[in-house]
Amino acid sequence: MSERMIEEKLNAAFQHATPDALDAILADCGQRKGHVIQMTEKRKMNRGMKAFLAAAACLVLILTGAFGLHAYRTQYTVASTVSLDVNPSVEIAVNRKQQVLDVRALNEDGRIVIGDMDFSGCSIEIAANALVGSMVRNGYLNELANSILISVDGKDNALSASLRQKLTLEVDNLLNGDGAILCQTVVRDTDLEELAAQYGISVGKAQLIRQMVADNAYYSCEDLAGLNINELYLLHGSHCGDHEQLSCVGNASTKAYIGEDEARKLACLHANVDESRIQSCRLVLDENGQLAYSFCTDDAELDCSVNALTGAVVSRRGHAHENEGEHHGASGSTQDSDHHETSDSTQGNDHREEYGHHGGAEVKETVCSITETTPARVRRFETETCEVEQAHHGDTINRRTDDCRHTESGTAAHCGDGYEKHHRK
Amino acid sequence: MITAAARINTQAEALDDCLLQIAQGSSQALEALYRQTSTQIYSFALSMLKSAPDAEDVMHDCYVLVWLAAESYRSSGRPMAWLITIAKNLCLKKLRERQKSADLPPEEYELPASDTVTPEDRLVLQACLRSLSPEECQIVVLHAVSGFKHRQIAQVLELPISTVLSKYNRALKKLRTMLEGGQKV
Repeated sequence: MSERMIEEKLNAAFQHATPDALDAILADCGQRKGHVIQMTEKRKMNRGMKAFLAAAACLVLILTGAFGLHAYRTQYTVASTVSLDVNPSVEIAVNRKQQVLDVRALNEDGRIVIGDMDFSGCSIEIAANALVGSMVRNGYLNELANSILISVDGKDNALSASLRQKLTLEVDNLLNGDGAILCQTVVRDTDLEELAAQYGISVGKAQLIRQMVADNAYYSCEDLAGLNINELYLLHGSHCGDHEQLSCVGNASTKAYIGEDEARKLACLHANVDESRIQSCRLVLDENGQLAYSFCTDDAELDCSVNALTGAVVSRRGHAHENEGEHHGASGSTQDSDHHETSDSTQGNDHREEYGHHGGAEVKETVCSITETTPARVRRFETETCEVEQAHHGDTINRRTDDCRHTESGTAAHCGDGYEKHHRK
Repeated sequence: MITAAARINTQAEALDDCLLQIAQGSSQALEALYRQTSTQIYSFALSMLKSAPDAEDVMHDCYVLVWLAAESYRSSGRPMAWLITIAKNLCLKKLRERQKSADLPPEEYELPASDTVTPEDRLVLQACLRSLSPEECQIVVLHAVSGFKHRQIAQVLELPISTVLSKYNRALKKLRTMLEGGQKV
């Protein structure tokens, strides 16, 4: 049987088997006209096109993955950390888009400031606005203490610069130009992190303090760590140099203090010298770790400090010797002078004369050791009541005293392990 | 003398005309289309579904769809391929519906019960529907009944042309053996 014959038989069989459904079809078509159904024919692709499409799909997949990874990193990776310090300290983690990923408090006041606010996903400006607003509402920022430290920490310099600019502007606007803003870029290192951890402060505040101590050995980290940003700003403006990484906007408030003019009057009244003879006035930390105005004359007749809060006068030379032990400040408070210096030759070797008394106690044993350290030269003395470690920093002397709570003069002004500060002309 | 190619072209043009008229709402054109193509549509549906009632349903639905969708038809010189594609989609839909219910065992394949079907026709149909694989059956029907070239069959069934040729030859050998050898189907 030939192929053609088989095909004819098949054709005939199927023709005979085909039913006549025309009437039913026509009947249905008359009822359904108006509804259009699109029929599309699938095109067969050749192998080249398939390979090209497969490669294209792989490329799209790779690009999508890379883009997705980039997007994920952009969205969820911390690109920079911003800390806001007043006395409350809060830390804000942001991504590359400058959106907030997390906000955490660094101290108890910071927790009060944050409260139940959730900043996830919002812009850094909004978060900063809300946090600074909360600081104002809670009384941490006011006309008596108007300073805030903004510290930006991140590897992306452009991002850090942008954040510094934005935040400075945002906070300055929020405080209506009445605030004092210290803004800095943090350069992290292990020592800085350890310093921050040691005193429970932000890395940004630790950097500011470390910089101030480096600029002026008169300060110690321990003393400065306990100050709020307003006090640090006042000290910074008074003593420290300018730094590229630190910018300052506005003036720190001095409304909580008696003011330089009043302090000058008290100092001159106390020393009985004319105000015109006062050569310099600086804001310093007194032995209690409080801000004080320090005055001196060119002939060293007057060298005293006036507590910036109470107006209490503390003399160290000149007329102060004559009125040793009792000096009345503006507030009428009395404070004993517990430092005596009989000679200006502190750079010399006759340290027994220099420290003939310490807290009213005679020096029993003289120098144990003289060590040259940078930048200070350190000497140690022993008295009946305590050991004194003295460090010379140019025109200042820092004394380290141990266990000096009970001196003959009864003062407890420089107890503990800290250095007490003296100005020397 | 009219060549085969010219005859096919003439038939394609006639079908195109019918579809254009159907798009304009001509039931006479639908009738003409039906007369020219119903055997091909039904045969193809039967080769896929191997059930006379289901094939008849598909044929019915196919012409109704043509009636409804004729406006969307764009002539490409292959109207029969368009019709077969519609029928194929309807058959696949029917097969999916059948899978949801229950698969029919081979012995229950339903052959057409028509007065016009002779015993020889029944033998041929049985040989085709029961001894050939579905693809072989479709290829044979499209070539022998619908007059498709192997290349066209390859396009419609989305198979390589070499596969179509080998399956066609294998199917014809089987049919020849069945029909000549008088093997019981």
